[in-house]
Amino acid sequence: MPQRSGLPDGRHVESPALPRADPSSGHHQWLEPVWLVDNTPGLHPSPVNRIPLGKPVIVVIAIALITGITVLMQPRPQHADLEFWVFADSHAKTFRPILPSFEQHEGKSVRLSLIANRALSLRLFSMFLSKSMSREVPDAAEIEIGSVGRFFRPPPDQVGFLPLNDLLRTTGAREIADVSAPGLRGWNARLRGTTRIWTHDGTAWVENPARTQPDMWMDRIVASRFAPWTKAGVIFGVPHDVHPLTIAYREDLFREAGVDLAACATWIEFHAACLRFQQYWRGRGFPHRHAIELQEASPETLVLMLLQRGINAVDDSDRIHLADPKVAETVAFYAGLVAGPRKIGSEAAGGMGVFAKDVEAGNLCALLMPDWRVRYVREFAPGIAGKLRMMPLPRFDPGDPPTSTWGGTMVGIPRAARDPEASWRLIEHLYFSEEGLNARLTQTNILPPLMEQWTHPAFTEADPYFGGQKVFALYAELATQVPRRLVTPMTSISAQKLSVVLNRAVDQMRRRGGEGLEAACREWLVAEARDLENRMRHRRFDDGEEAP
Amino acid sequence: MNTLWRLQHRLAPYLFVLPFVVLFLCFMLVPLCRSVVLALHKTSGPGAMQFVGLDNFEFVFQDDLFWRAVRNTLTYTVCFLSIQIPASLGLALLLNSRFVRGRDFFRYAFFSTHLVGNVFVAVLFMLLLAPRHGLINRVIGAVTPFGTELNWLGKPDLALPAVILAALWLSVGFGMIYFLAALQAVDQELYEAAQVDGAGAMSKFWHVTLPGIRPVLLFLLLVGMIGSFQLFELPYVLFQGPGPDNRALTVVMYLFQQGFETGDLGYASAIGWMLVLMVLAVSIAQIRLTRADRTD
Repeated sequence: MPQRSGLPDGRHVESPALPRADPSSGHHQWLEPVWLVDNTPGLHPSPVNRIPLGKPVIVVIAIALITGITVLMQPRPQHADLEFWVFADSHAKTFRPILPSFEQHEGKSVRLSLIANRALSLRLFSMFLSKSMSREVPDAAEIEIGSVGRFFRPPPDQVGFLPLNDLLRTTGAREIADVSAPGLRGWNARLRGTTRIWTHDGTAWVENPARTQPDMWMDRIVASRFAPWTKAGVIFGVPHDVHPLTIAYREDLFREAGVDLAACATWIEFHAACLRFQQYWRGRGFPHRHAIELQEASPETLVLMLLQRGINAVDDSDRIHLADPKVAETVAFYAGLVAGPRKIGSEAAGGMGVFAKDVEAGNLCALLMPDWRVRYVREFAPGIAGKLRMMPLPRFDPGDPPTSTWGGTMVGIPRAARDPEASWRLIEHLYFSEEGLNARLTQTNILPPLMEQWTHPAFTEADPYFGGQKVFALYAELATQVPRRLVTPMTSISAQKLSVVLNRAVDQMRRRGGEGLEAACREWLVAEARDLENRMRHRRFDDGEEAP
Repeated sequence: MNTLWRLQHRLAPYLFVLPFVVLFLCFMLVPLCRSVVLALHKTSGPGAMQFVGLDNFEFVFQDDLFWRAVRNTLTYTVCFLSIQIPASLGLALLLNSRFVRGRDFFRYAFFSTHLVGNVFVAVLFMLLLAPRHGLINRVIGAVTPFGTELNWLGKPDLALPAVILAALWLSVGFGMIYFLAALQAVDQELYEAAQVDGAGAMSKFWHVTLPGIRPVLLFLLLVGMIGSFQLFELPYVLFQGPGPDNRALTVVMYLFQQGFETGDLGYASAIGWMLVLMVLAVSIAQIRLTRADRTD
């Protein structure tokens, strides 16, 4: 029974709040609830006070209801026929203005979502693992090269993206309006309105009765750029770019030092020229004027050099190439560029455009320069307009291409896309159309992978920022020589292994110089290759079908 | 009415705990059980799963990257805690003193760093630690002979110190607030009694203050230790990966790499359970030591 206690103002409290032992049974028993009962004459107990569970619960429920209703009343994102995910702001800005023309032509609405790179790839990866979320999967998505490895762990038939080989082989026929159209040697085109195929012999179009098909997208895109998006011969993405690699350098400072950097054909000559450059400036009170931006500990630049030599740490057949003698040679050489008495490189700080500030200040006088970096240099270092020049990469061996490749993006169609054919047409519109190219040029100068687009004036004209040099013509010239960069789920781990060896090499170079370094690197690399092999064996399925 | 109240009494506790139980079941227990299953399998995509028993755990023991991550995490934990706890306590003692002007401002200022997230701090320190341009390097260049070229994020030996520096900036104020509350709860009469007994400042600190704030000290140690074992975002954003020579690779980062970058969820789960065992072992050891200390 509730106990009552009187209050001075006439009210009383019924307060049996605690469980009480029943002397007869020895068990605890629940007592009646506590109510503050106001017995002031003329007043009745408030109905709120009589609500079960008490006021706090009512408040919580009220708040939950209000917030719930508010959320429900928020305008829902508009339903669209196609959902397209991109991670780069410049890509979003490129595509948005040209979506209406696609929507009008196709009669389908498109929603473009800009999602941070890591979030996008993680979300998509989780969706691919969870079939129950397939309704949320976009109809097309761009993936950055550093993130794509994770998608390629399952066997090709279970990769979350749709194979594109057939679409690339059967669509995008090359057509010419007449035989005076520009072309390059080896191109095959259909004369518009006819079924005849013409082949370009380097000077003119010649009818080719032996061919029945013109070039399709597959033939029109730089072949090596399919490599990062391919697993076991199945292509899962369309490349957005080529990203050939050059070196940009401060021509004014190198000229003043009496060094002709562009004349260096090999990396050894380049190294020697940079040392001369640094000596000159050290003697004039510039101890922190470094010849080139190179990362001291991260293997990213080293990987670019290995690519130039045709080496991927892990290839598309899961063979490991860390023990290749060329790798040891390159690591030892690279360690000499970033450490020890013959060091020529220093690192720029992270953050967008900070490297450009270092170039402008004359702290770093040359840069590895893929096409995507040009925009940042222009934007963040306007003060050096006219002072930069660009040169192809020096070579290690005469057979090496004078370039490599840095970065990349693909667009793929998830298997759960609602209308894959419409997604494909959207990709064609955004990536390959004239309108798509013009839109791209409003945001970036990134060279498209479609070779005939390189004849656009934007890619052929002189660039005042580079002292009138035709830098994009140079990129276009190098683009066809870009090495194949392969990406597997083990790529990130293999880079970690390279990082371990590079740091040992750099450490040894600092302590003891370069003597015996290459042999030491070889040993370390063999050990790391063994470890990598062990990991791949551990990840492989018993039936042997599963790649790492 | 009586029946209604009896029913309510019987159901109310269950109703109150129901939301937690449902959420716990859905988002904790089921994933936990699932991760045990995953740890015993090789996985590949949504369709391929192969039972491998304890193979994943066996592999963990011979995985040099995992042990590198463990070593980094332990080094971080020890260095971080051995600076964070004294620094927080020192600040708290300073700001507990009546002789410091603007105490409220400084209390807020030191605590405010904790209000920003790990990712923000990582981005901030990327700029602060930049060679040549970063504020920290500029200060170092101005007052030491090292110059402004220290490559904090590129040199293996400086990688962990960079993380610790950022983590301290983030969390010293957090510890300080707890210590302040604990200091204010120490009975002033004990200080007066110690004064009467002729105790000096150090004696008072050792024999009155430290025993008085001991529960908070232990709490901060435990929480700091568990937080350190879970370190992920700060180095991940700061270095955009495992850092030079994997020196910023932590156990959770390695777990993330294995699970979400190389797509091996089975192995990632095994690493997760190894982490659980490590945290459990250290926590039990710490609790036992504390108990033994108390008994003494």
